[in-house]
Amino acid sequence: MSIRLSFIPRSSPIHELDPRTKLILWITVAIPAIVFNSILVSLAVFSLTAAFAALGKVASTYVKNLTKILVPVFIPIFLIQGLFNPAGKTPVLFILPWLYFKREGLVFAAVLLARLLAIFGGGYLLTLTTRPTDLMTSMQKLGLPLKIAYPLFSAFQIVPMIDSRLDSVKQAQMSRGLELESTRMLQRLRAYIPLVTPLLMGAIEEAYRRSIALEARGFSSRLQKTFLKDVRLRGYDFGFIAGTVLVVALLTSMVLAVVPQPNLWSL
Amino acid sequence: MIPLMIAINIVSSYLAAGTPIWADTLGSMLAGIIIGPINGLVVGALTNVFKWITFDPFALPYAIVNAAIGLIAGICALFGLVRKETSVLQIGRTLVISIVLAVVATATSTPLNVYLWGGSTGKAWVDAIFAGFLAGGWQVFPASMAAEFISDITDKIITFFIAWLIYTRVPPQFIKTMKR
Repeated sequence: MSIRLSFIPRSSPIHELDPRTKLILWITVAIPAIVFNSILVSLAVFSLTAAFAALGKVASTYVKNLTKILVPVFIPIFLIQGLFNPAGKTPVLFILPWLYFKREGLVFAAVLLARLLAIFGGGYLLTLTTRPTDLMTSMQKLGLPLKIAYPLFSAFQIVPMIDSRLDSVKQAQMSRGLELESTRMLQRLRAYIPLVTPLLMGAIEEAYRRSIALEARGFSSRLQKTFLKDVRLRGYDFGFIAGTVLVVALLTSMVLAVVPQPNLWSL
Repeated sequence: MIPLMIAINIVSSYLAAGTPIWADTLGSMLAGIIIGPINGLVVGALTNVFKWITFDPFALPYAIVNAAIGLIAGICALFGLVRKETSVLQIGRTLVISIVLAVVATATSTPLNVYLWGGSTGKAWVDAIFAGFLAGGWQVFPASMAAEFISDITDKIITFFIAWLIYTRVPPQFIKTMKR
């Protein structure tokens, strides 16, 4: 396994933005979806993030990955909610005389889907268009201590390392006769201990070496640290934020004016 | 140490693919037991932030669940409830702690499941139980909570026993190094 980052390097107006701007953008988009709980409002603000993704030249990945994750999850959700949601009354589609899809349940599932897209769409846009190091820099500027920011971002190197270590531990244990290819559940769970224990000890050794290397480079120094690659909020960022807030407010009020709340279909 | 524990969380959930459990809190539990509750909390939270940045755009809110597991496992260890002995008493204590962890996980994740996913969890067998409760006339929240608890109790008992067994096998000199 290699770590597949969400981030896609491109040069685009969205990539140029400060990560903090994208964070504010995300919050701005998510709020109306949480407050109004309406399918149309959620879809309207989500389409805005999709438009940003297009502006950031990542639209195809954006749509493809969200679909890939959500379709397998939402087929059962539509089934469960449509058939069994206790609020369901109005029959829509009969399968058996006692088993039928009900409108209220299907509407609820649709509300969920739209709300999820609106709440997480902005966050996914952030991770798609932001280099992890820039994200770390801006998090630190927002006040996240280095002692937390560093472990998070060094995990990007360490996860693949641990994974390749796991591979060698697996082979070493198999050569000693450990049954790993078994499909039986209990066997697979039992294999955890001979696999993870050596992994942990090797990891401790590695961590020790790493901490010495870090300290040799002044990790705990109390001096003000500078960044190799700085991120800065510019006029462009403030313009973008103002524009987004305006558009989101306009979109929301327009949708709510056309389809007032509450209505039968939670639109 | 923290990034390594994050890596163990990630690798462990890969190992568990295809079994009915998640096992994605193994590293948080170990961090809590070995380095302390606050580190358990940090490992748990950062694991989900990591997943969010890399491959799962929906993982972020569940940071609360994973952080709570690391914290509680750490607090139990702090009070001397997790010891390096294989007595019946210790096995009993381990069992009780895993049940507490399952309660904590259920309490933190059910509101998220219900609000975001309508009570579904994404594991087929848990969703089947959930659908069964709903078909039996339960409301969404209790049905989701019951299904989540059934899955969590299995997951946390197995994962916490693995964490404890690994802990008993790590030499004390190593643990001293990690605490620094």
